[in-house]
Amino acid sequence: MKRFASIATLIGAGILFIFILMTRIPPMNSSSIYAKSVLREDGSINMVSAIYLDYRLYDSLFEVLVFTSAILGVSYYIAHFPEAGEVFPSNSKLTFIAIVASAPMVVCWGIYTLLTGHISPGGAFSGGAIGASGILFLSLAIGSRKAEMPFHKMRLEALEKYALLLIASYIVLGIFDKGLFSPLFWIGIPGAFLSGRGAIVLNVSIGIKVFVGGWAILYLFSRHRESV
Amino acid sequence: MDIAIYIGFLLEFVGIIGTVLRKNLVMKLLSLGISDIGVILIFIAIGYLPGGGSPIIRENMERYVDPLPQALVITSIVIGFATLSLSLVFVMYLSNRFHTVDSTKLERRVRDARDNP
Repeated sequence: MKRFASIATLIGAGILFIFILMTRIPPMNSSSIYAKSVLREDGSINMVSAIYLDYRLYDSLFEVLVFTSAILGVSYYIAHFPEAGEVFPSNSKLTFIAIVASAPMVVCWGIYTLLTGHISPGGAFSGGAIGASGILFLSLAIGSRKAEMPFHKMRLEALEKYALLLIASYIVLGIFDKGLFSPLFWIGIPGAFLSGRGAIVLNVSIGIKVFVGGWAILYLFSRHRESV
Repeated sequence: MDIAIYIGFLLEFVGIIGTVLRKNLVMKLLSLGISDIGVILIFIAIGYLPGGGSPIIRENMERYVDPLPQALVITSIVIGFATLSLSLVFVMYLSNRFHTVDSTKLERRVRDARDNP
């Protein structure tokens, strides 16, 4: 078995070496052409956001679908394990004050990153992840049961499904003739908050999706932590 | 730029070898994460342009790094997180039922459980 492993490693290293020798990356770069066409066709000044919310929107749609199925799989299979109970808050007064003071700021920063994804660095995925980590941070101070309450009260799981529905309906409205994807549709003034076709709608819906999904996964793992 | 691409290929190679050869399922998942990081490094290095700015359009700016690999990296990160969490749940399920995360022992115990139900 050891001999087989070392032979396989050697063959793999050889193939990799040949691959590296054959790889040639062209020195030119087409990003100035990208900049011109993004300004003319999409209207958002963050080119990465223009690519994943306009030119490659199907890519983002299926990425969100993969993420959704992962959340469904995690929440279905983790229900087989016994629960370990609440994550209790820390006893330290200093930790409590520091976290309660800073966690809302983290969540607000996440919302800001999410809303201005098309005119500044950031976007839906990073904004959702920042917001989810802020809520998780808060549950260190006030205990997981209290942090979980708004999750049920605001029906965030249903909101996540509506967000997916919103992205799908945006695409359905876009593929028609003279729809949202047509070159004549409104693009706004590049650099203004209201610009970039449906960038704000898509950023908010993908952000809600990533926020709820990321938080649900981390929370489920923490609730079933001692069952293995 | 070149050295970053070589390091990326190397990380990817280390990750794949670890995924195939390590016995521990958790170590396999960590190796998968290493190869994921290698892919991300290759993507970023391919799009790099010496002296280019970040891909946010500004006045009096002509050279930007390539935005396309950065848009693909977002996909890579999210899919990596999703697959990692789902496979961790399956590892939890297997270890809860068969009390090991070693793949050889796991195969033997699964076979025993199938033969002697």
